[in-house]
Amino acid sequence: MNAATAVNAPALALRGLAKSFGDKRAVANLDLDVRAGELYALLGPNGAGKTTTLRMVAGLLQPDAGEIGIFGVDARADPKGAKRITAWLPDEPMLYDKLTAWEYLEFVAGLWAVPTKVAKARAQELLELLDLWQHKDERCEGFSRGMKQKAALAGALIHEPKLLMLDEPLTGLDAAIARQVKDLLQQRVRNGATIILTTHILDVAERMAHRIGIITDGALVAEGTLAELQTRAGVGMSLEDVFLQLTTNTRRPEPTA
Amino acid sequence: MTIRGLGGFLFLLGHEIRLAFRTRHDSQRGARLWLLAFLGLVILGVGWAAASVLSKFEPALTPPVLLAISAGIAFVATLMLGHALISATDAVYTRGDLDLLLSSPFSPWTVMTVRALGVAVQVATTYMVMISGLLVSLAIMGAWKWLALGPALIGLALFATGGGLFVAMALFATIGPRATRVAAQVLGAFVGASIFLAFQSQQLLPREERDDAANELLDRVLQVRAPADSPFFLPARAFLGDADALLVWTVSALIVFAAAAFWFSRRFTSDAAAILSLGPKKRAFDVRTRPFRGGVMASLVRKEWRLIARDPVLLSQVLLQLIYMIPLVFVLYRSSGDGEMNAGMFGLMGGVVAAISASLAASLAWITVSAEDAPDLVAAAPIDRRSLELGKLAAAVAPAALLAGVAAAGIARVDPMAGLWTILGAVAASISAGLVGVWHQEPGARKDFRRRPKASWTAQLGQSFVTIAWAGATGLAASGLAGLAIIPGVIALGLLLALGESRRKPV
Repeated sequence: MNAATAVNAPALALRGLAKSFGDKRAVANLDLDVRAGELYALLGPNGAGKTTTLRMVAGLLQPDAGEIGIFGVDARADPKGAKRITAWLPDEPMLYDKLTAWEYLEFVAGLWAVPTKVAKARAQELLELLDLWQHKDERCEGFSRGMKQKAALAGALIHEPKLLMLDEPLTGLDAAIARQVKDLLQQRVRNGATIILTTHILDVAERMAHRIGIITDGALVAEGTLAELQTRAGVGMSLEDVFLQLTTNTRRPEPTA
Repeated sequence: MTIRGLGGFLFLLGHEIRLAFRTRHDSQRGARLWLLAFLGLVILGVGWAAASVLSKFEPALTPPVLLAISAGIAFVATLMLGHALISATDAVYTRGDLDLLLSSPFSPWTVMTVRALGVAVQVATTYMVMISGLLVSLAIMGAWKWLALGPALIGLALFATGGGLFVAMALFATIGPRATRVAAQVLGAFVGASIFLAFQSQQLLPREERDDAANELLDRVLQVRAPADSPFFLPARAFLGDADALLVWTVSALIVFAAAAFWFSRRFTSDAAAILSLGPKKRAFDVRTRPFRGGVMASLVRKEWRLIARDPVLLSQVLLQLIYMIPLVFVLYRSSGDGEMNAGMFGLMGGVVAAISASLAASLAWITVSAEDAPDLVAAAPIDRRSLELGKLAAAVAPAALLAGVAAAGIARVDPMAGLWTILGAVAASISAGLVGVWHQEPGARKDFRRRPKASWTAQLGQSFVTIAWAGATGLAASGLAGLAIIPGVIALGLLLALGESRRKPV
């Protein structure tokens, strides 16, 4: 795979991805495909390996083994090429308390080398969309949790990534802000972006995701649309029932020291 | 409220003291134990040597002797006062646990009293540890009278802590909680260095006047008219083991401390809400936007400088490292006037400038690299690690080099070659110190800046040795011994190479 993004390549292709921390196996030979233009929800209990997987895709962790393809770019061979088209938003917003929202976006745009005029126009658009325009000159240290999350989301979107990865993006947000974030994500998907999100709020996955993957002990145990998962588990089951059935049945005991 | 047991006064005090001294990572426990053992041996060795002299020494309690001892006590007292002021500020502002403690069943008064007591214990322990080797040795040698040093020093710590709390309260009342945080830290550092600066300020005088002033001071000391039993000499007599003086000294110290702690507790109990609700100032909305500035490297440097410049506490702590550069200004000011500089002085100044700029670069490198607030953000950006580190190194080294440039320009006015060697050496030392910080980074938080040297022993030791070597090379070159300067220069480069080889690999 080369630096140029392949036309028909999946947005994300993981093959045999593995990562351990000492004796603890976090991700175990994970194979996963996410199609371009879809919103993919990655579900799993705490410690299942969701965040570790996404951190490896974002280039923040070196895998022990396996391949990561992002729109045809081999992320292990060409990390810069992969990073140019991705964005990563962890559950704790990555902000600088002493920078204003405007300066934060200027900095992030600078890191991704977005042309200054384009970046400025996008920053204004994003801040207006997320109701942060009135707060553009305020330092992030005075922001509420929701405002911080929105500012971080604006930062993640300023270079218009083709693949956006979000770790628990709606945790701790009030209903109004959660709605704003969900609307923005769906708008991005409609415009052709691909989004992978992890969430514990099953309702979000149920309503927003085109496909859902359920991961436990670092391995994918089920994948499909909501209807496919329900069919597999049994008629009349909710996503919560499916999730609990799959994660409790397949969970391996913790390795002992 | 109970005194002992869970939820008691002593439980809270224990928690306070544990936090005050808990600074290092568990992963470095092995290194810490070795270092503690080494320091213990040094303290005991030095203490034994001092005790061997002191145990045979019977000072005559004449006014000049008592005055000299009083001056020594005053010197330690200023250091303690500075320490107490900074610790009191830390305890109120930095620890960030007042919300938790004030929402617990403890009364606010108890919380703040314990906090004041914690500051006193912290100050006293620091100095007691230093003289512990001496006290143990004196006890072994049976020089019981000299053991009065222990309680007398604790008394001094209580006086100093009381003074520190009073000053903090006065600042709080006059300039408000927001400004007190920075002002108290700056004042604490200046008070701690005040005696040193006072001694150095005589450098402003021409040599003849300086000699006259010293002689006049000596004459005055020898002609002290106050009797040996004057209250003015009470601290000195207490330190020398006069039982009555020691009793009065420690009881007065307890009273001063108790009064300060009482006032501190009452004041902060009523104003706790003001401290807890300290938020950023808000700017009025302006529909205009300023244009974005681009460039990956420039973005990194701009971000780092903005973050440092907007954190007054951090900025004051960084700049206070430069306090010891002030005497250099005294020397330069005088020398440029009377032209009495010699090669040795240039060497000394060149070495000091190199050491101070390296220290500044090391501090800034820690802030830009180890205390990065959003490490995942920069790691997820399409920039290779090398460029990222280069940007952060540039942000750290540029201010240090600029400062060294100003000092070198001052030296160059008197001797251009010495000025040239000074700036070259200072830049080399700053880059080296910054590089060691980049290579051996250990994640930390900006608010822990003052505790940073304990975060990475490798970085601290490496920076110290490389800086010493560069300072030596700069000093030799600036004093006209450029050939000899090659030796420490090569040592510095060798150390730097070794530290580069042992750099940490990314996860």
